[in-house]
Amino acid sequence: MARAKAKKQADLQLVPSEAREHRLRLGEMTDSEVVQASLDGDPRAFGELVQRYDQRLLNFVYRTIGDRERGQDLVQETFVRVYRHLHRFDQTKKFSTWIYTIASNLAKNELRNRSRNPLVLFQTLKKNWDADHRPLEWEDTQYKPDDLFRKRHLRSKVEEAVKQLPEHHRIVFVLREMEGKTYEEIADITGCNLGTVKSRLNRARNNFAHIIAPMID
Amino acid sequence: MNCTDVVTRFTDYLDGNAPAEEAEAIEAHLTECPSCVRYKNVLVHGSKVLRTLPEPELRDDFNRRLRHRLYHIDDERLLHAHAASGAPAMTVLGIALLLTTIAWSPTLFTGMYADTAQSTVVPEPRPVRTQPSTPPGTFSSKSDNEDLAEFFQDTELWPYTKLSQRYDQRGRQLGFSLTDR
Repeated sequence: MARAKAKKQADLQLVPSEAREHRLRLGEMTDSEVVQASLDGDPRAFGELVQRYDQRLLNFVYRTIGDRERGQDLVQETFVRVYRHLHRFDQTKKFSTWIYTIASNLAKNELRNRSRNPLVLFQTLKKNWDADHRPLEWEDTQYKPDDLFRKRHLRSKVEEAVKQLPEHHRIVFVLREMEGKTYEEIADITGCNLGTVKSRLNRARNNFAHIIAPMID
Repeated sequence: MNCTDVVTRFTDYLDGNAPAEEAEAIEAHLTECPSCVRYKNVLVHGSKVLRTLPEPELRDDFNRRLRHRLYHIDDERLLHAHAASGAPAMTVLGIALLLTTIAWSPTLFTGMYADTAQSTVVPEPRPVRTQPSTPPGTFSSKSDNEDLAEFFQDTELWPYTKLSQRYDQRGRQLGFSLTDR
């Protein structure tokens, strides 16, 4: 996230001063104000919304479907739908909830389609191949190889544990644990009531704990 | 509160949404149950690891591709707005009306030419002279030239022979007959 922010800051330095000031002004606005600016015909306003949400949505969609490349396509599709239907957005609601709902629905459709047409994803194979054939990198000299290996192993197990969760549990779990959404927001995004959200989250956490417990001292 | 109760209500407790009494009961249970303490540690630590997972990076062409798609949406909207405005239909209708008006204008504006048009006077036809037909080979008085008619009246211009006779004569000169076959 920090690297993405730094890149955006660097990009901002390249644009002419007037455009830069405009972007900075947009950057200080709330989501609703930026949405209104976009509806009023400000061509840069939608770009501001994209900058705010592209990385977050990609992270959410990727964790939900487990495919990086397809995740990018779905995030693009999310923005296209938002652009197309922005005039229909109820501005009394939170924009972030709306955009996450669209992304969540697209991710659910993707998982549903995949379950109908199961195939082995090349990326999954490639990722495992990379992990198996990558030379050992000494990321930090302060850590011992055992620690490094354990840390990397734990991360991959945690990622695997998320993937192993049932679809409807996984979406709730990712929204809560990784995106930090409140129960109410999750209920709005997933279209479930608050009790269902709590129950799914509790079950997801239980499953998650059981999967990773052997790796944690 | 037993272990099952703790696990069932742990989500609310972990997120700080549990009522004060419930939170106290869970904490009291945690002081005396090592397996529930481990459950808590695993969840807390696991969530921490989850948040430190590297984020996937956007492709370099992500924004360019998105801009391209949004451009096409704008394009579609413009086309749709243009089509919905009814301007093309009105243009076609206008052209059709114009062509119809031009085509029907002679009948529509007959009164306009009534005063200016010259009346055409048609002379009476000359009476057809009915004279007895002259025999072939004599001058016909039906000629337009009246002087010549008077001069050549009833004079033989050339000796008349039937065409078959002329062929016979010609054949005899050449040594055969055209009619005797």
